[in-house]
Amino acid sequence: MNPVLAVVAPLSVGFLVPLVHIFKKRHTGMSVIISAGICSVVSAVVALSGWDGVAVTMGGWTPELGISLMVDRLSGAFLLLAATGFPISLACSMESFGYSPWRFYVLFFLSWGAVNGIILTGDLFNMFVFFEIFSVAAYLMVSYPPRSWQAVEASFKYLIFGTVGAMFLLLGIAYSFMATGQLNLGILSQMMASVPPVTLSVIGGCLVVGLFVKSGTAPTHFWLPDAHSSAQTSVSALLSGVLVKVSVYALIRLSFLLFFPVMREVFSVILFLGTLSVILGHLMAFQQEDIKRLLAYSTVAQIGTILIGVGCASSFGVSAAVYHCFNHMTAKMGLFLVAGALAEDRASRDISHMSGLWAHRPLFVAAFALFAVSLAGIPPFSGFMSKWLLLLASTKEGHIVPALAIVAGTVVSSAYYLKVLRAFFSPSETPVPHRRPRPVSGRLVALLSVLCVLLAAAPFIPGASSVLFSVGDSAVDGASYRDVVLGK
Amino acid sequence: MSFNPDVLSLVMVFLAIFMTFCSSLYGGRRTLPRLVAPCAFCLCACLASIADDWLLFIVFLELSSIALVFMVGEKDRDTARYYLYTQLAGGGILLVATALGSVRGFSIPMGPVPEGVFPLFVLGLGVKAALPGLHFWLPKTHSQAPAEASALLSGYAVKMGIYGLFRIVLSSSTVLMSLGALMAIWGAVMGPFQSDAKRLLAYSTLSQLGFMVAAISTGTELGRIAALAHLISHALAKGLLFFSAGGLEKIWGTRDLALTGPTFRSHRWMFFAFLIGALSMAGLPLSPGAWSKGLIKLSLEGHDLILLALTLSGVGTSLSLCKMGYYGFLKPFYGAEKRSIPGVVPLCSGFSMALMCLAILSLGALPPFRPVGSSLSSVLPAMVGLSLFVLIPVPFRPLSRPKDVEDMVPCLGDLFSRFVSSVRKLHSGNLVAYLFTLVTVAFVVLNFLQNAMKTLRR
Repeated sequence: MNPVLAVVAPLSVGFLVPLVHIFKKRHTGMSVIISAGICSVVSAVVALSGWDGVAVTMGGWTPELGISLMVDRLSGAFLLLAATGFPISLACSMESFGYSPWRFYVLFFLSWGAVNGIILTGDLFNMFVFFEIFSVAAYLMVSYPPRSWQAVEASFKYLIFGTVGAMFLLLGIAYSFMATGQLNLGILSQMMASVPPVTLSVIGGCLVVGLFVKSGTAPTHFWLPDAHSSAQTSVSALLSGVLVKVSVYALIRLSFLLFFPVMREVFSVILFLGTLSVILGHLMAFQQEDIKRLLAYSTVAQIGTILIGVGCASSFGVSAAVYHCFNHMTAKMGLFLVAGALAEDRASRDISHMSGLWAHRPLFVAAFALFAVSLAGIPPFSGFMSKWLLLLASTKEGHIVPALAIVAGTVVSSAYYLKVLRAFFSPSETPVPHRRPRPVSGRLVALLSVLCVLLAAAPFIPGASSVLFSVGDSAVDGASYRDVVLGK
Repeated sequence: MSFNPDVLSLVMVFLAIFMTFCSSLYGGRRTLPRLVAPCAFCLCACLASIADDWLLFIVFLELSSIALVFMVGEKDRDTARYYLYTQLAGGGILLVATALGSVRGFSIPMGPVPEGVFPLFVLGLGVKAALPGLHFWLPKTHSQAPAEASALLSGYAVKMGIYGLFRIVLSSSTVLMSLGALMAIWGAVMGPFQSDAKRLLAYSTLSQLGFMVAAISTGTELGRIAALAHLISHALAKGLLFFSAGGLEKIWGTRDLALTGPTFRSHRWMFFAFLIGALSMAGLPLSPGAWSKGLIKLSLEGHDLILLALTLSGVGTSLSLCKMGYYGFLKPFYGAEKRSIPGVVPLCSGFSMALMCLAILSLGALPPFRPVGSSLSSVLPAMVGLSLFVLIPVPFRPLSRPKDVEDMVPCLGDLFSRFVSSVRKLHSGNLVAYLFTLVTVAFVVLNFLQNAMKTLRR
């Protein structure tokens, strides 16, 4: 299937939602649900049909002039991740917001389209444009509905940081355009070898720093805890589960295509900041009293864990990182959904107030325990599997400190998740004030738990593990990327 | 990844099943959820000991520790968490070591490991087997846990670390041998000065683990057999001793030897059970402990310093057991004070202890591994210990406990929390500071890359 459809479908839904709202107000909700399903299926089909590499160049131009869209295994994997994460978040938002806020759904589908665009595009400037669309949508979604000042402040902070990050990205793109006269990633990857080393270092530094800011890597993560914790539950889940992964995807794609052959030092930077994020994220999460802030800092740490895999600069490391992306998405979305539901029932996000919830919603608490244990990396759950692969990847390249950081992170994260679970299981004197039925959230959490368990089994299925490792190969292999994009 | 039981693992499996059975029998009638933890522990421990590669071993080891955490946590949640974190850290180090050692594939087959990662393996297994300095968790956990959990901890869980050492140490290693000797001495020196009955036993466990480490690190067949024999005899004896310490706790409501009373009068059978365990531990001829200690000393012939250390530690073991027997069963420390009516030890605990006694007696009487002479070697230190206790009783009164490595843990925790809160202060919410950090990071990254590329060009 033509990769363009995966970008066009969500974008067009984004523009059609207001029209439906004006002309067929009653059908807004149903049409949003149906179109989300269609978008998800289209993305999945694009990902699967382009598994062995498909590229199109828009408007019949040659790749040097036109904008290429390209699917390979790496982008296919991230497309699938987005196609799973977005509908889950949408279902949760429909449950909490209802059908009426069409503005939110416009933003939602715009960000979906932009995310698919970032994943599919083979053009550097086009990637920046999609980054801007997705960021603007994300800023607004964080403060939706704009009632609490915390959310507005968080959104403002996110805006400032996102803009600074985007400026770095733009600077890097501008320099690379000035140095080569090209924007197509396939051609750029060939021409990078001829760029003078110092220019190359500036391009690399700007691009990498911009993506660090966007993905919330320490020490440029300051926007992330605020944004992820102040947003509504479904948006937090989306931000932590999918949106930060897109920046990770861009980091993998750009660093391997542009700098893998010519400037390995970029990977040292990624590895170093990844390790720093693991340490800082877990330490900060350890001290939080607010459950959603705790989860947000844990996201910082998990992004660091993923970046350690990327920083290994090997196909194995990227495979492990992608696997961890999936594990983190299922577990963290589940954690945010459960935490959001329980915090609303308790009317407080303070962990010390969250007692008596085991009696209140045992299934939710059990699911929380499953996700937490998985993310902490206790065997035999999915987080352990990917962390083990990451340990192998980093030690194979001779990096011991990142491996030790991951392991220490396991101890610290089991400490803070245990703190939350203790609060959940402790008896409470005051009854839980609210009890809204949450059929949709319950099913979503069940779905995510099943996914979490299935992901843990994935490495033992021979076919699945070879598929996983081929993802890493496709990320590292710049030559086959060029072959697909340039149509050889 | 597969399972491949050999003789060593089968011995471990039998031991695991026996110890778990005895300890759950000791715990009495249990509700179904409370049975899950011991069964899970037993299953995971068995699977760990028949695992054919290191990854599988570590995974099941961790799982068995987690099952034990639930048993420890029945009484004291804080101790359970403490135990959990130490075990996770130890398992994590082992995981890193395995990852480092596995050049190809996903794991290392069970057995000797590449030389480069040997120290890391010893470090990881050292946390599990409480090597000196890494034993900070052991006395606290053993003393605070319920008796049946302590028996499993001391009787089996720490032995998994020893089992790991069995697999990696195949040649003579002087460093490890001296560590073992140090451990034996350390446990024996600290033991007699404890006032908590279970802490005292925990230190005795430490010293006996030292015996095993020393024997394993000879690297000879005899040493390995001796260590295995000692592993079994110690598991049985120490399980029995922990059960009787648990009995003391049930009767007097405290483990403090200063506060326990004349248990001998009300529970004569328990004293005899204790005596069997203690004598086997100290090395009475024709008891399993004597056989195994004799074997260990035989295997260490030629290493005179180590032998001397082990003999000295025998004195310490005997001293601490005398102290526990005297103050716990025979004579109350504060004799004048009127004792409250003692509690009772349930029947099932009695059965469990009887079963352990039976096992000890039959192991001692059945097949003598070596000429009787070898089981006589521990008599001397035991007698010396007894006479020391009789002649100079003052230092061994149950009054206070000496400091150990674990007392550094709160200080370290303080330092850690101070560091963590300083990290927290960086997150002040000040946007200017945040942006400044961002720009600094960008500058540093650019600078680093530029320097790297400049050196490349040269």
